[in-house]
Amino acid sequence: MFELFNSMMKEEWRMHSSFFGNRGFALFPLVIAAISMLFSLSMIIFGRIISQAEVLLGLHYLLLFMGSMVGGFGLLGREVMNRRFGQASLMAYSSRTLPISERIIFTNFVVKDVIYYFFLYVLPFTTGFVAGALLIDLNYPFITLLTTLFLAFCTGLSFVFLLSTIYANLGKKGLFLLLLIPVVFLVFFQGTGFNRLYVLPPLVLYTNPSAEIFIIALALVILPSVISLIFLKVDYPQSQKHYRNQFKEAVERLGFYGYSHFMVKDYLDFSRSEGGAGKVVFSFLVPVILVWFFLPQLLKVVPGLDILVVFAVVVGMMASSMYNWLVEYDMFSSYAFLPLTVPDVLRSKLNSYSVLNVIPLAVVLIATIYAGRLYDIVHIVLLFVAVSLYVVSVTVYLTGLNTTFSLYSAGTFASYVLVIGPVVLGMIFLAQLNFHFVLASVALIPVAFFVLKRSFIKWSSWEV
Amino acid sequence: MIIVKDLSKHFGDTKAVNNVNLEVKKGELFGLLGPNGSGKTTMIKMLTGQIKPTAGEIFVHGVNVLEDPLRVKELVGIIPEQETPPSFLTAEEYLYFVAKIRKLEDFEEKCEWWFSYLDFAGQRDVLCKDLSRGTRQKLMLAQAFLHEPELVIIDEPLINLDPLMQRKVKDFLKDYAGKGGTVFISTHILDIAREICSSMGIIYKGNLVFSGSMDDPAIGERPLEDFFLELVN
Ligand SMILES: Nc1ncnc2c1ncn2[C@@H]1O[C@H](COP(=O)(O)OP(=O)(O)O)[C@@H](O)[C@H]1O
Ligand SMILES: [Mg+2]
Repeated sequence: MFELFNSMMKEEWRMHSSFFGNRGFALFPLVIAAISMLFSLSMIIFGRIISQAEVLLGLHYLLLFMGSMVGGFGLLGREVMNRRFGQASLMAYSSRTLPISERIIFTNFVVKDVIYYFFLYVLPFTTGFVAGALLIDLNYPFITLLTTLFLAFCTGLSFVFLLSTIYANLGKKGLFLLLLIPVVFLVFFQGTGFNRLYVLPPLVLYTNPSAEIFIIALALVILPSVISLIFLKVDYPQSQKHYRNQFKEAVERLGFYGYSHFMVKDYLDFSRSEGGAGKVVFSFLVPVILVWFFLPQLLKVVPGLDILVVFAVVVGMMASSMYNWLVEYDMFSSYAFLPLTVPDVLRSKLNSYSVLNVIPLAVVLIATIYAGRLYDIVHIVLLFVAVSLYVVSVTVYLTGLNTTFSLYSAGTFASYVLVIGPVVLGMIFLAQLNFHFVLASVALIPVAFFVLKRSFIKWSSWEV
Repeated sequence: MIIVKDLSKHFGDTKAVNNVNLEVKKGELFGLLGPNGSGKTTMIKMLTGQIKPTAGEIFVHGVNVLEDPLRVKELVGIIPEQETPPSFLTAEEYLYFVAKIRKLEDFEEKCEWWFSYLDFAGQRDVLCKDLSRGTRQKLMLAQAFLHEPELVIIDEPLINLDPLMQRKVKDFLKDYAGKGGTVFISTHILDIAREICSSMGIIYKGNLVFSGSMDDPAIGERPLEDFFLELVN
């Protein structure tokens, strides 16, 4: 049992480090610590407008959110690995070849994830934050904060694990369940607004520690995981499904367009993979709805901020995650023997990306109408398009066809934050000065095209 | 058809391919033989413009591979070692996809021909990722010949195929070379060479220790295994 666990740890480390080099990966916790230190240092400015209670609230929810992202990535990531390297190559699938039960393997797998990410995220994050606070004469009890933040992180992880199990068991019906999440949120917070957020047990454990609340917080982590392990469903591809040739029809219909065959392939990859539509809902629509709901609350620290502007910017940034889905299914090695270059493949992915952007665009349009600001539509749409294009161009430049994994490399991640952060904040700042300054975002478009041009050069000189 | 001059590829301290000189003429069925890890795949990846050599020159079809790898991939049919079309396209859709990339017209009949020749029409509507290894290899064979290239380069052509299919593929390759096509294959199974190749090269630890026609007097009537052992000792 322990040996299995041990090998899984090693596997995880090698899997990550082989994607972006040992050193880049080892530095990743340092980058996290640096960022959280900046957070706490910024309290010197914001400390006057936000209370300590609100800071703690933010911290715990941030870690909750990180936990769910990591959980989502872990599960989606595994699906990707599995597709790329075949199931035989991962420990998690060794129950097929070794005499061990799936449940034991997955228990190991979950525990491993928890420990692994504790050292990768939670510990550096807390350390950075507490250290930064010390510099500005704020004292946080390190061990307590570490414990409650870790619990918040695990709660997120555990719930995503539960959701994915529900989804695996219910299939398409599970989609509705996912859509229900934001609805539940809305109902829960209706009227009372922000204050209900303070009931998060790990947070209460920090502010009013007691044995009961500790047990509740722990149960929130353990119960969902145990339930998921009981109803665990590992889908091995057993049956060969048969599909009619949709490729031919679709390409014939779109034949006038040079990239039609790539776009049709991307579409089929997406719609035929496990939980294709579920992915849109889960990793895009649910977060967008949550953002729309929480934004007004989170932004009250900066009075007078134009929420619609911030929303357009945030959705623009989130839209670029769709580029990740597109490249997930492909490795260049499956094209390397065909008359194609890496830039050809990148271009085809960008084409599909542009088409997919219809979804976030619709979201932005709806938000604009909902906010009763139809007259601002040109500004808002322009802002969204510019940010989406800019962020994706930076993603392509930094990571090429390997998005998910490269972003874990310290250097890449830091450049990503540094190149995107100031621009995005700058746009919001400009809008604050005068709403019409939003039009300046048009300047991001040529910049994005320039960056893309450089990316094609950068990625074509890689090998060959 | 293929000219290789002083070709080397080093991965750190590993000399995967070491100073190889080689020529393959039109109409030949050339076999690159050698045990696992001797540098065959590395050699094929360089010939087809998939990786950059550390040193040396390669001309395929008169094209300088280092200068125009794309042109080489257009002209040549290639089957890589890792037979993974890792996608959610069906076998048939994958062939159509390749045909579109190669800008072919009237490819549907050719696809039909390959389905029936290699006997996998029953799997045409199954997703590539769910195909058995043998069927994937069949699909990769079809893919490589779809544009009727004058030269095909295949890394381990018979891998994962059952004996019946191996026979068919061997016959097909022989026939193809007989009609003026050129075939370059790599294999670690020495017997295949005597059976179908017109010339061969033996590579061992990155060094080309022999190259010549199959009826080179140096080989004689001995089993190839003996010849190989004599060369490396
Ligand atoms: N990308 C790589 N990085 C480092 N070493 C490699 C790489 N590719 C191949 N090698 C090494 O080069 C040698 C030749 O490998 P390969 O060409 O795959 O041999 P073969 O195809 O004949 O089995 C082996 O020792 C292998 O470990
Ligand atoms: Mg090989």
